Amino acid sequence: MINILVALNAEAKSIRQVLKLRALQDSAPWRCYVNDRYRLIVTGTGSLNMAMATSWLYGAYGAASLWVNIGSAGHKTAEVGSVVIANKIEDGKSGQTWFIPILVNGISPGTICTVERAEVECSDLNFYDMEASGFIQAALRVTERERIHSIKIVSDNAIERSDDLDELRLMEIIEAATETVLTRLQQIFDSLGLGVDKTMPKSKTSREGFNLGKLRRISSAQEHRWRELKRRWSAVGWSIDSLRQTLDSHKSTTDFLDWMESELLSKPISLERKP
Amino acid sequence: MVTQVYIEEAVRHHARTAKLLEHYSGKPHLYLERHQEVFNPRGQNFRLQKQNPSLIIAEKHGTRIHSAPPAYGTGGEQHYYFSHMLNCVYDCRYCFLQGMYRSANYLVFVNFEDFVKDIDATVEAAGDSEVWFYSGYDCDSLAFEPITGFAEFFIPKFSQWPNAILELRTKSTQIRALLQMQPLDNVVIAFSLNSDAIASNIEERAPSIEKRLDAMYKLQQAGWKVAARLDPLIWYAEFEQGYENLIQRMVEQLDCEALHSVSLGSFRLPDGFFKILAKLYPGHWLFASGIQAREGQHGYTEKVTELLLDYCEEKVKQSMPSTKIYRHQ
Repeated sequence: MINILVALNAEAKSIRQVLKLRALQDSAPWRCYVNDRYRLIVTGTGSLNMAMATSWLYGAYGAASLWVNIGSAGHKTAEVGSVVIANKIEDGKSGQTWFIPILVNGISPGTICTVERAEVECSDLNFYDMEASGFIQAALRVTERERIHSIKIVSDNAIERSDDLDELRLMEIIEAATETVLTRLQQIFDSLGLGVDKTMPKSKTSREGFNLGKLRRISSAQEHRWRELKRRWSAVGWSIDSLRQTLDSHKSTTDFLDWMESELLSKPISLERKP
Repeated sequence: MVTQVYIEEAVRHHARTAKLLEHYSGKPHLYLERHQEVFNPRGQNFRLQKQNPSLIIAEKHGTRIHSAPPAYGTGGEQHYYFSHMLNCVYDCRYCFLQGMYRSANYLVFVNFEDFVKDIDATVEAAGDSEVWFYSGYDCDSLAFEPITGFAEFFIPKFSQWPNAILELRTKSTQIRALLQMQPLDNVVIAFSLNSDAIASNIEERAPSIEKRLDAMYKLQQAGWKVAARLDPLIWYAEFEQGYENLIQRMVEQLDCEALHSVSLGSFRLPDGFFKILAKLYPGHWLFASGIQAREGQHGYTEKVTELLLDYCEEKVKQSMPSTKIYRHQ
């Protein structure tokens, strides 16, 4: 699941439409939209709203593969409608900074400085927004740094100023950039997929097989040992299901677990017949 | 492939920083106060970073020369290691670095001159004793050579310290700089070798054994002292055939009598590192087969360890004197 956090309805609208998200009825106090792959929440403006909504989303739905803050930002010279991915977020008030690992090559990253109100005196080094620092602070409490990203669309610059930006114009800008934003989002998601270890044999998971506790009286220490031995058993490519038959030939649970361990210690894996 | 470059403000204008940035000119770069802001903070995912790491250019503060772990060496009286870089470009499944750091980013320290001062002080303090300095504990010594110029800088320095020996540990074939230098008698280039099956299965991104042996041969031809590190030996059903084949190829391709040393060690990790690695790769056979905890380490049983070491030692002995063979357990 990919969680998308957006401050304004005007910023969310075209994303909702392109991703074909449906509104959730029971998501008060936030407006939340979902499909089977994405969850989008409209947080309201400002760092605090963004931080609260991020925490709420985690509390309500738990972990996600990716947490992305999408929204508008100002810049002194960048072209309106251009898209930037944050590799650094600064909190304008406290001066605190966070670096975001960018795992995708060939994209244009930038520094997002989060301020309390639309910035008139922009530095040409930073993009300015009002939510990213609240987002990252809350997201870092619930997931890993690599799974947190902030994608901004330039909505105003020194020529096209934020004072002149109305909701309709903002919607137009976001709509025009939505395809690029979603492509970037997909690239980030794909880069996380590379994290799957290619050298790992496709062994069956340790969840496979039977529940020893239902067949034998088992202490918590034995349960812990059983789980670890089951992991190792699967990792070397041996069948957990076949253990069920062996279990009957061992009088006690300890005997059975000792036998499993001795098998793992005495029989090497064949790399010619690696699972 | 490096995705972006972080630079500590303190080394922003350092000549080696400029060289590194020239190499990565197309990559975004960011300045920071201390490398700890991006190296090893909490909440990082080592595996995700390892796929596309960033480069961090920094200054090494504090202790730069460390006592080498027990049984690391091959003779000599005092053993130290130093690391101009943390983390490795290769992705060997058994590597303890995965358990040591939360971050997979490459951290390069550019203040080489400070390392030299500390080495000089250590040599001075040792008097007439033989002192060994190892590089390649926290990184591969040569893998980044074309970019960092590490060996090119450090090796000539050792000509001024005859009682100091530098050992560069590597799997890399980046030996061009060495071939252009005058070999020094107190420098050993030690290559980690393993069976083909292990190299192709769990030494991801590392050069093939064929290429490593070729690099060793070229260095020997050029007059360098070369050593072989058969460590970690891995226990698998076909290990006899695999290691016999490796040793046979060493005999055929290298001047084994001229090898500085061959060290043997079975797969073992400190308990804490092993647990982290088993958590990172719960489905990997390496952390499941034949492993038990003993004396603060996770490794093979005593019987398996002896089996591996005895077998390989016996094979190596057939081609070189046993005084040059070292067993590490």
